[in-house]
Parts: sequence; C-alpha cells; structure tokens
Amino acid sequence: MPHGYCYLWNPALVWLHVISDALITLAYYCIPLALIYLIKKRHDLPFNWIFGMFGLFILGCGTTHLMEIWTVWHASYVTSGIVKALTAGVSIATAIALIPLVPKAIALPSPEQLHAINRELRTQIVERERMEQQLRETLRAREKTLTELDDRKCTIEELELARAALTESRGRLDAIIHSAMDAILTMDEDQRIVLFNAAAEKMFRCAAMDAIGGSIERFIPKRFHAAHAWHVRKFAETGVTNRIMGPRQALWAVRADGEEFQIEASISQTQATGRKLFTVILRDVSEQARVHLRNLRLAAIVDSSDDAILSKDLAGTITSWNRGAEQLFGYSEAEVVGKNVRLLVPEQRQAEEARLLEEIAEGRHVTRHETTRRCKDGREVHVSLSLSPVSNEGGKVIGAASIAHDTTARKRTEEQLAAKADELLRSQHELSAQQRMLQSVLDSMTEGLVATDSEGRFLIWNRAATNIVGMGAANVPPAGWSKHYGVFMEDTVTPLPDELNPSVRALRGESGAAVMFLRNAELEHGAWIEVSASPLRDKDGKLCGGVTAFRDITRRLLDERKIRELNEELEDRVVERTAQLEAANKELEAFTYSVSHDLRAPLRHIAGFSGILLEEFADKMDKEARRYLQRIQDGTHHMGALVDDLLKLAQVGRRELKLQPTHLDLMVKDVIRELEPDIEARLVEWKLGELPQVEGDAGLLKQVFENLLSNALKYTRPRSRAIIEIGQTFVDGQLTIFVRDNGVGFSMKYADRLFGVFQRLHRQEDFEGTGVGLATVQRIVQKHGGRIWAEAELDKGATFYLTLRMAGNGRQAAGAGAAS
Amino acid sequence: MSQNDVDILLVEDNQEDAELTVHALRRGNLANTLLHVRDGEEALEFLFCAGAFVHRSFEHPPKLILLDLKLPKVDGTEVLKRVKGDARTCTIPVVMMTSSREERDLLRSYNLGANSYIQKPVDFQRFLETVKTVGLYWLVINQPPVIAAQKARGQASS
Amino acid sequence: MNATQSAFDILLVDDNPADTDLTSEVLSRHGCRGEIHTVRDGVEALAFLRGQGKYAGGPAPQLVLLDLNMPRKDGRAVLAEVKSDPALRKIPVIVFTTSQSPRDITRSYELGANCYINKPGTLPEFVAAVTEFGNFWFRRAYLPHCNHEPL
Repeated sequence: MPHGYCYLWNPALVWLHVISDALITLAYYCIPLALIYLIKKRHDLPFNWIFGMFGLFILGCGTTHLMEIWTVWHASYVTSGIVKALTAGVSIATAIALIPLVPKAIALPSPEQLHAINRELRTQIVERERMEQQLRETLRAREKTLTELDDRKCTIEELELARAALTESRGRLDAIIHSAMDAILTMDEDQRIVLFNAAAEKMFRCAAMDAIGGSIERFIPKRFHAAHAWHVRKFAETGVTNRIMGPRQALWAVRADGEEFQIEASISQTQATGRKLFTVILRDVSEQARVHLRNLRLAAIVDSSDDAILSKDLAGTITSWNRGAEQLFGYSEAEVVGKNVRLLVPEQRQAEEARLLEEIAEGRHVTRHETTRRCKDGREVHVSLSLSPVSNEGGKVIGAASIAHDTTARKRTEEQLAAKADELLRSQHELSAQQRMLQSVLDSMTEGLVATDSEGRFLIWNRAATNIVGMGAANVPPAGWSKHYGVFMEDTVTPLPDELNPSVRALRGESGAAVMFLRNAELEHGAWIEVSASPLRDKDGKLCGGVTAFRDITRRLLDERKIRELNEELEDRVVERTAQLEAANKELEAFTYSVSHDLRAPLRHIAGFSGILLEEFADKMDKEARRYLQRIQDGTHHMGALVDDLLKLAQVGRRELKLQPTHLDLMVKDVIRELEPDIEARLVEWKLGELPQVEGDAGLLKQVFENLLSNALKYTRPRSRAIIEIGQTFVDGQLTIFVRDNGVGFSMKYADRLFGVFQRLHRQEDFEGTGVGLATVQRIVQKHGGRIWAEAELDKGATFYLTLRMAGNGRQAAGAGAAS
Repeated sequence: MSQNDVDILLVEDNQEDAELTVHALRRGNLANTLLHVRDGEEALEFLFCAGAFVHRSFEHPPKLILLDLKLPKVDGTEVLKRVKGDARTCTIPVVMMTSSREERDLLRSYNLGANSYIQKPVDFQRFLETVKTVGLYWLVINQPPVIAAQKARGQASS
Repeated sequence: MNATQSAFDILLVDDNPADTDLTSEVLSRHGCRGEIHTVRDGVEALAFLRGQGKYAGGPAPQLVLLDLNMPRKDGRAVLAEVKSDPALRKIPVIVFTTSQSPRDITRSYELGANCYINKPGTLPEFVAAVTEFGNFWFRRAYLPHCNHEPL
C-alpha cells in the first residue's frame, strides 16, 4: 500500500509532502555539488576529505527524501528502507570522522588573531625590506603572501609556513647585514639613522650606538650637504625603489674622525606604515680608485711609449698592441691581435723566435736582444727586444710582455761611424804630412808663436820665438815666465805682473794683447814686443791650453816715435801757417772792403767832377778839351766796372756756400728776362732745353748764368740772327749743362787763357769787358765741386760746359729728361 | 738857415762826395735846407741837441738823414743805432748812403732800422739820378713823421 | 748797360683788390721785375712772411707794401710783429695807405716802418705815387737778400 493512503489521498496533504520532499531533495542534492566544486577548486584546503564525507551524507539524506515522494504512490518500502540505511551509514561515518577533527579545528587561530599577527609581521618585514637585492626577492614573496592574508584568501597552514620562512629569513638577514662587507645604513624620512651595521661601524670608525638616532649628515662632507638633501628629496619623489647613487667613484663620505674617502653607494626606499625608509649600501672605493688611477697611468705610459709594447701568450698569439707597435710595425691593433707574432718575424729568424718563447716559458727574462723584425710594408727594422714573462695568479707563466725598441737609426749611425773610422785612419796619414808642413810654416814665420797645454808646458815654440826672445822653450811654470825671460812693463824696469801678461791670462781663459819689454842675458839691449794671446779650448769648450803670437816692434816703435816727432813739428807748422793764412785772409778782407769803399770814392770824384765840367762848363771848352774829358769819363766808367767785377770775384772766395736745391730752368728764364733790355732791336733766338735741379748756392749760380748768357749775347752781336742754346747733355756719363752760341767764337789755341783774370781774347773796342767775368764763373763752379770748360771755333761760335752736383731727387728727373 | 729848419742832414766825411751830393740835390732843387756834418759825433750832437746844437729843438727833426757808414770818430752804424734806439729820434727816416756794397753792411743797417740803403754809384749820371731820386722820394713822396710843430709849418707852407 | 732790377719777390698786403691790381700793374711797368704776391689781410701776410700753412716753402719777399686798415689783423699789428721778429725785421715795409692821420704816421715810424706813402684818391696821382716809390725802391735802393745792385 502506497504511503498516500497514510495521507488519505488527501490531495492537499499529499502535495504538501511531495513538494516539501522535492524541495529538500533538490537542496540536499545541491549542497554536495557545491562541496565537490569547492574541493576541486581548493586543493589546499585542510581536511578536505571531510568535505567529501559531508557531501555523501547530504546526498544520502536527499535520496531518502526522494524516496518519500516515490513511496506516496508506490509502496516500494524495501527500496526506501535500503536508501535510509545507506544514508544512516554515511552519516555515522561522517560523525565518527568529525569527532577527532574538532580539537584541531579549535586550535586554528581566529581571524582577529590572524590580523594581529599580520601587523606584527608587517613591521618586521618592513625592517627586512631594507636589505640587499637578493634578500629583497624573498621579502617580496612574503609580502605577497601577507597581502593575500590581508585579503583573507589564505589558509592557516600557509600563514604558518610564511611565518617560519620569515623568521628564518630575518635571522639570515641579520647575519648578512652584520657580516656584510659593505656598510649598510638605514635612515628614516628625517635622515636619522635607524640601522648601522658592523661594516658601517668599521668604515665610519663610529659605533652603531653613537650613529643610530643621529643624522646621516655627519658622514657626508659639509660641501655635499645641500646636494645630498636635494638628491634625497628628489629620490623620494620618484618612487623608484632602488638606484645607484651618483656616477662611479664620484661620491665622498667622511669618517667620524674627519677623514674623507671615496665611496660607491646604492640607495633603496621602502614605505612602511606611512613612513619612508631609505637604505644605503656603501663601499669604500678609495683603494679601488687608487688602483684604477694607477692602471690608467700605466695604460697611458704604454700607450704613449715610442717603443712597441705588445703581449703574447706562450703560443705566440698577440694579445695586446700599443700605439708604438702600430707606428713601428705598421699594423693596427685590430689587424694583429689574435694573430701569431711570427707575422713580424723574418723567415730566417723564426727559429730564434721559438727559442725566445721557450726562454719565456721557463720564466726567464730576455733583455736587449738585438734582432730584426718585419713590418707590414715588408721593410725590415732593427730592434732591441726586451721580453718579460707574464704569470697568472697561480704563478704559472702564461705569456710574455715584449718591448721592441727601434734601433734602425742607431745601426745606421754605427755603420757610418765605422766608415768614418776608416776615413780617419786614412786622413791621419795626411795629417802627419800636414803636421810636417805646419812645422815648416811655423819655422818660417817672422812672428813668434808658442803654444802651451793647460799647465803651461810648451807644445810649440817656433824658430822666430827663439830669435825674438833670445832663448828657447824652458820648463818653467807660467808664474816663473816673467823672471825667466825678463819680461818688463812699458817703463822697461817693472817686471810684468802675471795678470797683465796675455800668455798667462790665456791659461785662465782670457784673450788679450799687450806691448811689453824684454830684457834678459841674451837680449842685452832689450826688445819691444807686441803680444797677443788666446786660450785654447777642446771641442767641448774646455780650456786645454793657450797660444801666444808676438813680434818684435822695437824698430817700429822707433819709427813711430820719429813719425810722432815729425808730426808734432808738422802740426806746429800747420798751426803757424793757418794763423798766417788767417791773417792773410783778414788782410784780404780788409783790402777788398777798402777797394769797395775807398777805391771807388776817388773814382767817383773824378767821374763826378769831370761830369760837372762836361755838363756845366762845356761851352767854355774847345772840342779837344771836351773829347779828353769824355775819355776821362769812359776811363772811370771802365775802372768802376773793373772794381765791381774784382769785388765779385773776391766775394766768391770769401762767401760761404748756402746750398739748396735750385731749379736751373727757372733761374735761366729769370736771367734771360733780365737781359731782355740789352737785346734792344736784335734778333735773338733762345733755345731753352730741359735743365736739372741742382744742389747749389742760388745767388752764385745766378752770377754764372748771368755771365755766360750775357757773354753769349755780347759775342753774337755781329750775327743778324743770334742763336743761344741752353740745355743738358751727358759727357763721360756725367750730366752736363751747356750754353752754346753762334757768335764769333775763339781759337782753341787760347782756350787755357779763357778763365784767367784780366785775360781777354777780344779787343776792348770790339767787345767791351773787364776780363774778370769768366774767372768769377770758374771760381763759382769750382767752389760747387764742378768743372767748366769751353769748346769753340773762330767765327763759328762757342759752347761752355759745366757740371754741377744734382739735387737729391733731381738726378732722376734730369736723367729722364736727357734720355727723352 | 736856422738849426730848426734843417730838412736834410747829410753825414759825410768826404768833402768831394759831399760836394757832389749837394750838387745833385741842388739840381733837383732839394738842397735848400741841407746841413752837412763831417763826422758821427757832430751828427749825434745835432740830432740830440747837444754841443753846438744845444739850442735846437727835438720838435723840429729833419725830414731825412743821409748817413755814410764809414765816418771818423763815431761810425755810421753807431749813429744809426743811437738814432733808432731813442724814442725822440727813432721816427726820423735814415737813408744809408755809402760806397760799401757789402751784404753784411746792408743787413746790419736794415736790422738796426735804417729806412733805406743806397750805394753811391761811380758813374756820374747815375750818381746824379740816384741822389735826385732819393731827395725827391723822401722829401716829397714819403710822408715824414708828424711832429706838432712840423705839421703846423707844413700847413702854413701849403 | 741798361738799368735793370734783378727779379725778386714783393708782397702786397691790401684788402682792396682794385688797389692791389693797379699797384701791381704800375710797378711791373716801371722797372719792377719782381714777382708780386698779394694777400688780403694781416693774418695771411704773416703766414706768407713766415712761410707757414699754405705758404710753406714759398718765397721770402724782399719788400712789403702794407695797408693799415684791413680785416682780421690790421697793418699796425703786422708791422709790429714784423719789426719785432729778428728774422723779418730787415725786410723793408712800406706803409701804403689812404690814412693821413698824424697818429698813424707817427705810430708807423715808431713801429719801424721804412717809409709811409699816402695812397692818393685820384688815378693819375695813384699812378704817380706808385711810379715814384717804384723808382726809388727798385731802381735806387739796395734791398736785403738781393745780391744784385740796382743799375
């Protein structure tokens, strides 16, 4: 009978049970599904088999409820009973299994407890976080775990493990920190030290006790404080956790005792409970810096060496190559490193190289081994090799350092020297021949010549020396020379002191000359000698002796004395004569002055009174008397002209030249203009050529041209057409001025009388004149250092030539003029 | 002729030259008021109103002095120096009239303040012309220095 | 021999160009063979005499004809400077002016003028005056730095 009967088939009651049981079944079936899912997903859950049992238990319960529904309509109570029995079994098993688990479950901490532990751990972790990089990895793993714990996603077991790991790492960390070689310091945000390890104590020479709580700044040199503060602030802002501080070896720290030293440092930062902490790991690199510097220097030396420096291993493979090697052998570093050194060894020397390597392998040094090497261009160079074995730390020879010095030039010099030695030998023969010749020269000299070594021992003493001194070379030291040879000062009685003797001074390195007097047993009357001496020096300039030359000047002195006496006499005579001349000059001056003033007066009177007679008393005289009076007038007139001309001549002699550049062409034009009134009605053609600028006294030169041109005018008077030419020409390469006319000329027979005083070549009634003009002209030209002469032909005209000194810049102009 | 009416003072030691000079001036009608003195001392006495000329007045200076260089007692150069060095006489024109043609005489004379320098020519015609021209130029053409009394006289005569 | 005067240099100092032109003309017609230079005031006159400025290297005159009334530096000042300068004192200075003031005449002589010629107002008189002093100075008188006697 179905169970429905129990419910009286009351539909409401039936459905109440059916629906309830269905819902329970559904729920009971869902729970194990959820549990299975959980177990699948969380293998790490502790005690997970109990979850399985739970699942079975609930599944069973669910099935019993399902059976309840079935039995409403079907009376299969046996099946239902079996299901219930199974469920009961599972339930009991689960209960039995659960009982021992309870105390275990009780032992697990509560979530609150876990939270507290968390906090504590985190503090510890934060501290650990300031450790070195490798440790930080561990820390980071823990931190992750903690984060998971925070999220309540971890299991109790895992937390346990984490704690154990943390404890372990903390211990390890402490040990690392304190045994670390590097100094480790941790600072808080205010730069106060919170951790200071043993290495730091050692490095800064400061106990951790003293350091902790104080500012880090005490370990930073003052000058870097500001920079440090700025860097720290900057670093904190970046949020970067780890960084190397500053460029390599650029940081300085200061020890507690004030010593500064170079460090390398890295810094990291961590955030813990809202606070920033900075951990710095420091390494003292002072020594390192020193070593580095030394290496740099060594490298520089190697690099700058002119010698080739290379290293090779025992197989001969080149491992390094300096610039000197590059220069010597022509290979660049890239070309040869890794290649065998045999590359550089000429064929015939390959065996030798092998031997050298053997030597090295045995740890021996090779020094100054002269050999040859082949360069890149095939050229062989002479080198001096020095090889040193290079050993590894274990003392085993692993290669060689080789220094090659180029000796090509030296070799060449040696060869040249050898050649020279040959030559020297040859020339030595010639020298001995020359020496013989020298000896004969020395012997034939009239001058005495002696030479000594630095001690004053005579090396040369020629024949003339013996003749002059009266004796030969004696083995007497320099200090004894004066006495031995009888050397006296110019007073002939005072022995010549050594410091005045050129021969002795020469041995002190001084050159000198002197006149001295010799008198000794062989020279009774004594002799005057003129001595000059110079030190002798070897090729290094070292004093090695002296050479003295001297000659007998006794005769010359006597002659000179005579000449001096004669000269004095002559001078007296000159003074006397000069005085006489001066007196004569004065007389002449007085004479010319009186001619000028006094001689003209009576002349003027004769002319004056005869003139009055002629003018005012003419009517009281007969014709004859008047003619005589006229003669008197003409005579006085001529005499007046004579006196004037003579005065001019005298003035030329007395006058001092006022030299100045003078344009002759302008001057001649002036003179011609002044002569124009004399031309009157005559036909005169002036041919004026180019004339130079000369250096002269303008006033006197003008007289020259006045005379020459008025003469030309005068002596062309008979010509219907007078042609007077003035110009310049070259005579014997010298610029010469000429005045040419087509007048009556003169016979060259009388040319020598032309310039004499009162000399006239024409009769007074034909051509008036005093005969003084040309004499004056000659005086003036001569006074200017010039020359005057004339060429003429009777009835054909005359040409007067004169030379004058050209003015500085006039020479060229004149030359150009003459050339054109 | 009063000592104060001298127009030309001729200082000349040579009688012949003096005579010829006067002759030439007379031909030009210029010799009326000429005084001839024969040496430098006499010339100075006249010019500085001393000795025989003590009654002369500085206010009536000559219009021209014809002065030879070579003079007995006091030389012509000295006379020139004294005349030109004294404020009372320095304005009187002095024409050197001499035989000398020496440049240094010429320069010294001009430097000492001579108003002009003439050489006596030998040629009679030229001598005549020269002396005439000198007289004409200095007495007629040239404006002599004006002294009050002289000026009054000049106005009276015109 | 004809009467000739050697060439030399004469300086006319006058601000009136008509006067200097006329003077030059008359002088050159009456035996003056010299070169006649003209300047218009006292400053230029002294520059010329001393060979300064644009007159450097120029000739030194043997005779000066000087007007009294001129711009810039008048004739009196020029005269005073010339006659107190040892290098210039020897050059004869002829004062040639329209002024007949006794003061000017006396002052000029005191300053060392060699003569004083009145510049006449009418042309014939002007020509006559210039001719006369030309006759005297260029044909009779000896001038310094002139090596050649008149006649």
